[in-house]
Amino acid sequence: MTSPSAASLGDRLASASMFMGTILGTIVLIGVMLSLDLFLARVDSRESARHAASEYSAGIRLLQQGRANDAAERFGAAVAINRSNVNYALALGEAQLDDGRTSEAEATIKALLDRAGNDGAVNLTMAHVLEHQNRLQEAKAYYHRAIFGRWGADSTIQRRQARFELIELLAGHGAGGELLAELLPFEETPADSVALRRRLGHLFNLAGSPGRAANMFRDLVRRDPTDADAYAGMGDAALAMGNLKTARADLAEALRLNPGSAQLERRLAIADTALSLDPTARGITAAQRFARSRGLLARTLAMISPCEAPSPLLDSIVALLRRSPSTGTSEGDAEALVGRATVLWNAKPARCDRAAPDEVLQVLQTRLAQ
Amino acid sequence: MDSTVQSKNVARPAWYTHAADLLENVRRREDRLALILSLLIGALVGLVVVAFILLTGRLAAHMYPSSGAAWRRIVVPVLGALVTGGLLFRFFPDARGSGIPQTRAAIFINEGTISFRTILGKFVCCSMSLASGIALGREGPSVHIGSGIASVIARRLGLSAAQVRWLVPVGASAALAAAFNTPIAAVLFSLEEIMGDLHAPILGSVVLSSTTSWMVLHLVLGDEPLFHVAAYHLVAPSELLIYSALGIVGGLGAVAFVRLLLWLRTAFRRLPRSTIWIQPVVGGLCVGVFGFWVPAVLGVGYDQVDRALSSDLALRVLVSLAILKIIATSVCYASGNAGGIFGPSMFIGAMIGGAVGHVAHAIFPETTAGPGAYALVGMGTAFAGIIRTPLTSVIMIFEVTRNYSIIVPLMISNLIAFYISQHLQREPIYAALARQDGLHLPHGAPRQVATKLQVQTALQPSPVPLRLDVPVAEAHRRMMGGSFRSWPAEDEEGFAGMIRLADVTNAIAQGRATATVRDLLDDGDHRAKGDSVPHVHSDHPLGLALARMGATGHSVLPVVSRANARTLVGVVTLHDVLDAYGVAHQDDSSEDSQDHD
Repeated sequence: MTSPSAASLGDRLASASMFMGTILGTIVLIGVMLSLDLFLARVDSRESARHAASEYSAGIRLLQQGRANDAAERFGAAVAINRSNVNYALALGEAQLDDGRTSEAEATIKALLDRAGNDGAVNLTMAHVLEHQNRLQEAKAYYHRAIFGRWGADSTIQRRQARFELIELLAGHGAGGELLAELLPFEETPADSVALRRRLGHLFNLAGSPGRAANMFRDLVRRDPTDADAYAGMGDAALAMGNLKTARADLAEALRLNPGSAQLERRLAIADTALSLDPTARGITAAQRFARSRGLLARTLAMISPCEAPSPLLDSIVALLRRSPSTGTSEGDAEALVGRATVLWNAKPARCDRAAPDEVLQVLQTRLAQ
Repeated sequence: MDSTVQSKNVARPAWYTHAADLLENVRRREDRLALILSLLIGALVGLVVVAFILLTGRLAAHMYPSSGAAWRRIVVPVLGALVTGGLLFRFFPDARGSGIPQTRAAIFINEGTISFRTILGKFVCCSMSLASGIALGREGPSVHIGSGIASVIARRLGLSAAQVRWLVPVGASAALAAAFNTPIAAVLFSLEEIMGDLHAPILGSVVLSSTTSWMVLHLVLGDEPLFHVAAYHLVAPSELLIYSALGIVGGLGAVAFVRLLLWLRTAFRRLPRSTIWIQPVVGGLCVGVFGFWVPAVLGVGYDQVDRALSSDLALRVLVSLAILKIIATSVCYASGNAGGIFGPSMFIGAMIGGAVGHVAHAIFPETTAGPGAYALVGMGTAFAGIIRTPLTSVIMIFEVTRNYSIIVPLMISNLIAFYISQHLQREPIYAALARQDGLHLPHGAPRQVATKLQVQTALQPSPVPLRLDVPVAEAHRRMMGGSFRSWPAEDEEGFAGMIRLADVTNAIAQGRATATVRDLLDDGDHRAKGDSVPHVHSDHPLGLALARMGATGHSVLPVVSRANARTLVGVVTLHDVLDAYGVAHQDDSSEDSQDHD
């Protein structure tokens, strides 16, 4: 017979063996399952990544075919599979934008910005979205973030491209001061970049910095004396600076190099007319100066009267023109007429420029301001 | 034989005996055992559920790929349902359906027993079923698998039936934490739905297993939320009205889904038993036909939920997906496929919410958020309406989306849907499903009735208390003149304790007629010293009064003020307690007949 204590120990040992075996078995099973799970997770990750990449490629192909809606579907599928990939979400946003779904594109890119707020490409796409929505102030902010954001290996080119997109936006909306601020970093552009200098020259003209524009074009002419566009640019810059004779000479040379250009002919005509009306020209008589001054005032009044309500200023100028003789009189009378013309020009409402802009007067007033 | 055992025992080295003693000691110390088992069960269940999710996802990607031929979307679900139907019928009859009612049945009926075969069947059949496109969810089956693993381990360890029962919700919590990536909601769900008691004493173990499982999930799959949601917020206070409207629509949608599912299930159960194996094919065919035209109906559909949350689905798509999913899930479940209704509830809710959001945003674009915000709230709304766990649903949406900004609209919408659902469909879905299977599981209503019955409903005025210096003989005379067998005593500070008629009678019989009430109270240690005297408060449940009467042998308990335990508010007697419960008495004249004296 087994003693009670021995039997008790036997039971305890059997029970403990079962207990210990189950605990150890569970621990071993945890190890096995962990290995299996890690393997399955790796397979899942690999297959998912492959699937997402194929959806992305299909989306790119559809986008190239102009099927933005279908492309967005594919990109959406790629994003759903692999949310960590910024390129997929960015492509989705761009496709939605191409498809005209700007609010969806905004939501997509906004979500992306939460994860990649410093990414240059993401910020640039957001700027595009906002530009489409005509939210220009916000768009400008995102352009700036794109310019100073993080880019890949070709960051200099990407940043320059982003800045140029902002410049185009500013140029399109007549934001002269801001445009000039964005252009200034390009002033020291490498000399071998002909196309870039040409583009910058025109943009400097647009930004109201004709001196810088003239420098750019002068450099181009130095390299290629037959560059009609560079002469035209120099002519425009000279016109903007009020250097009428220089402008005429440059524009005439441009027209010689590029005969038949209607645009050049029109610009040359403006320069010629401005020269013939310029009351500050040297070598003309007092009577000619007076006549030109009176002509300037009359032309200014003729431009402004249709778009300006009757006012004491207009009435006084009409009376002055009626009172003043058509020829002769002193230098002082001529200056008085020019002064009235300048006052009237500066007081003109903006709608006058929109209704019937007079480029000759613009050029002459620029010259007079100097 | 005996000698063999003895020789074996003798042959054991000393360390083994010590280890055996140590383990035996651990096994008997419930707190330590619970700690160890919660960790082990949490880790193992988490890993099994992760494997279940990965396998299901991968298989689905191969069985009906998005770029695959349309005919596959009909053939695959039908074949899947046919194969799983056969397996369920032949080998795993207990693996059918969601798993939540089965888990509750295991706890409340089968002493926590879930067989290994059931776990295996659930894993295999649900993987095949969900991967083939059957429109059911993976969370309910995960809960069943997790509970089963806990049950098997507990029984292998030789634990008592009570301990096995306590460990089942521990496994359930771990499973849900891994399946939904929601550790807090998993704890709440295990307590609120599985146990039906938020104050269940297993809270610590449930929390531990849930967090362990969640950590395992993150170890294997990384820190990715189940759904990706933009930072929605309340655009204008008036938007709360639209969220309330969403609560009404979501509640009605939930009722429609539950009623359709229960009605269809009743219809399927009326079919001949010989057709059980083929019935799941009806679900497969239904979802296959829907999937042929609308592939998004197939499977769990969380990618579509994600799109709805990103406002990426058109109104027409949202409405059609909500309707088709309600029908497809109802038919798939009712026909006996393996899978749950947890995930489909969220799918349906997201689509309903997105649709309401689309309409609202079209009408009030300035004062409403995008459809995605409504899809998010709709998920919780439908869940609250269908599953009827409003607290779990709020926390779950928060955890699933990690978005706190929309929690107030979510709570409002949830509660409205919950009340509508409760009003129009009295029985919660899991209780109704269990009842269809002939199981009567406990649910909230009886407990609410029990909690509503408080001591104050049976409270009656106290007899004039005996002063402590009153002689026993005088006390006996006064007690015999009343109907109580226990009598309150007081001193100058107020209530001092309860004295039993039997003690007084015994004292007189022993010749201690000159002794005072104080002496008797001191003898029996029945004087008021803090909480030592058995008492109740007027807001205590009557069940507690009954339990304390049983524990102390007093058929009369003092009811004292919560502000001052020496202030006697009244008394409650066994007779009055039974009367409050509506129990008839054999002898109304002697309410103290069951006194333990």
